[in-house]
Amino acid sequence: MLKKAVLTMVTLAVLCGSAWAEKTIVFATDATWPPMEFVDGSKNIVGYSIDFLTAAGKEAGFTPVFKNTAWDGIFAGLSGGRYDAISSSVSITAERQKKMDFSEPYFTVHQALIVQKASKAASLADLKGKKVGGQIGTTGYFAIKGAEGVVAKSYDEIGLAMEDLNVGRLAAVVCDDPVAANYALIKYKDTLRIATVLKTDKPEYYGFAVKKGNKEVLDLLNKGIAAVKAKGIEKELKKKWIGQ
Amino acid sequence: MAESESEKIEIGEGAAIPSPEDKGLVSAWWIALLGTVALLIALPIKDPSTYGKVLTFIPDGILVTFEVTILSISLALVIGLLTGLGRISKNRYINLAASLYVEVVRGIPLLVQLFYIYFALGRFVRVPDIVAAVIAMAFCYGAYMGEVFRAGIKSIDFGQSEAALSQGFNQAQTMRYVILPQAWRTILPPVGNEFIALLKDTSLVSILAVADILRRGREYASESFNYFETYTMIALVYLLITLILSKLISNMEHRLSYYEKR
Amino acid sequence: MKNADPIIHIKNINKYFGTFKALDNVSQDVTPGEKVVVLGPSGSGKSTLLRSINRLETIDSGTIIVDGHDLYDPNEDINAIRMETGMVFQGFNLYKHKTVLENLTLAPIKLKKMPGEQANDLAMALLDKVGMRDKADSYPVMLSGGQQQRVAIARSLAMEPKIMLFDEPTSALDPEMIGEVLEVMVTLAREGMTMVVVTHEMGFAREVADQVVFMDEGAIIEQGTPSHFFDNPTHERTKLFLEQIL
Repeated sequence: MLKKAVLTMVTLAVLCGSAWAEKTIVFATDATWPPMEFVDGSKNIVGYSIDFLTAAGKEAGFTPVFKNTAWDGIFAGLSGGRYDAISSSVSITAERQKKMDFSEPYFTVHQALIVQKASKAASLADLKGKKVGGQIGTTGYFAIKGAEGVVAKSYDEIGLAMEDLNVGRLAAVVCDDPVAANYALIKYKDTLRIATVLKTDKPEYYGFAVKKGNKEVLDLLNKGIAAVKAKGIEKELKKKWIGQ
Repeated sequence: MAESESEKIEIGEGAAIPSPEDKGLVSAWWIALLGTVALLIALPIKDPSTYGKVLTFIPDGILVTFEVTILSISLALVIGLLTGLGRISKNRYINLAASLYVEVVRGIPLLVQLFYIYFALGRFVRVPDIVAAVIAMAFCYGAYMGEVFRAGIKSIDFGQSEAALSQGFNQAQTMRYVILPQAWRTILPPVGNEFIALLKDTSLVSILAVADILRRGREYASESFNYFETYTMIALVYLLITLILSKLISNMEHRLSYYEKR
Repeated sequence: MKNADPIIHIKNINKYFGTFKALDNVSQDVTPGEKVVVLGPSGSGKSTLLRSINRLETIDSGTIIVDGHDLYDPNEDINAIRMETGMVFQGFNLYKHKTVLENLTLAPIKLKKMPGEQANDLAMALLDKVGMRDKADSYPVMLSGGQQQRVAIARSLAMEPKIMLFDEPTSALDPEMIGEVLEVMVTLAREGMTMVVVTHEMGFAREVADQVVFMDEGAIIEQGTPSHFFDNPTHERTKLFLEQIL
């Protein structure tokens, strides 16, 4: 048994060595965030950010490997060195920048308010005293917590919040607009609708997160992002996944 | 389910309940309690911005945890009593229904049941999340309680039933006035254990977005990134609660054995 | 007295435990005030017969009528019939979680809706009678076997039954405690209680019984007055039994 394990490790080491030219970067991704990153019918992790990184890797010379990781604790795993980077629709915020480094933005995002079709709510201000759900530790959830008089409720996955909104346990859900569109326009198109996009002072951007000081990976990512944008690949991907 | 089960009720998971006679366990209990209290006081003083913040974040979560625990155990006791009676019933349909319930519940992980009942209920009736969580917890624990009740009732000498029946008590009165008051003493230690186990298992309802201790802690950690500090405090809070409860239960158990002392 | 209508009427009853025939076509009448002592080797069916009189054992065929009530008539309330029939067990079976006093008052209060004070007075009078007044507040576990059995008799009497059934009341007792229990039973007999007693106490049978019934292998082999039974038994098996036991 031990012999076998040692043999396997040696083989792996050799393989890695031979593939050194193409650096492998392991990304943690919470694949519950369609259409940015999610698990498709054949159990593959797919989505906008997956395609984006694959293209970026081709341009900058790295191979992305995706590791499906629960959102809650995803940042702790990064500082614990369990993966090289996070590609999980992470909005760049001042608090997060204190703890980790971010790549250049790769996507502009807004927070969308989703309600039941019958609901008359047009903004968070209309939902005083009501329960509004978001995914734990997301900018959407922080927006709910920041809204006066609204009862914030945090979920492990945005899908669970959508289900509770669908059955009426919640009055609304706040999340990133591409995700909101995916749920309100496709999955729950008969029952839910997007009420509004929350207005903010500054635009919100997704970035890939790396451990503080990991310049090697950060440089590769930025090189790839720049190339994907310059070559017009970004436009194709948006068309494919977001439909715009 | 073998009928050859011994009369002794197995103590399942849950904190070991210290017997007042057992000096070793009692002192272990004291050490744990003092250590927990000391850490809960010292850590926030040492670092108010992390450990201290956690403590200000979770008090309403503690209330929710208690609320879910107490409601669940109450409902589970009722379900358990009915199930236990059903399992010893001579009516084969009642017996079958009760046994089927126990088999089904015992075969499904609690977490899966929680998800299932929470979202299945949501499809048919509009109940608040805490109610759904309580129903799910009680549905699961009711089956275990049923086994505890069954064993407790069966542990009472049949002569007690016969004496009551011969005086003219019907089956229900016999159960109520003679069997259950005695069975309760046998039942209490495992029920106490289940109570503590249930309290710990309520941490699972945090997955259903019920804002209990664990979820409040996770919300704090996800904002502050202070994972280590948060879970240290959460573990200590749970430990403090279960330590106090196990002591209360052991005292209650001691008092209930009044009629066995010479 | 002997010619009165029977208060217990047992006619052709049969009872099986699986394939084992526990009662074999047994018939027996007991008139009010009569004391019937049932004797026989162990396994002869005497306890089963006694227990069938208040339907703690159900019979497979035959008729049992107690104080005019057919035990197997679905319109009859078995619990009401049981209230009129006190039963004393070999193992006492006192309610362990109740004090001596509460053991006596539980049934009158819950079943007869007797006011608590009245039930207490009745219970204390009965405890006096069996010599257990000073133990009223003790729990059964604190009492000796003989004391427990005396309390058990008082508990049955608290329902003011018309009939008392005794199922080997002294068999589980240490020899020095048998006397105190028998003494209570003799007193009860003198007061005119209708009694059916399964026992191995030959002295008691001789002294108290109006009628002795001898059972073997589920059937009544011989019955008669104590003097007939002990001095002139007719049946071989009776003789053999008496030789072994006396």
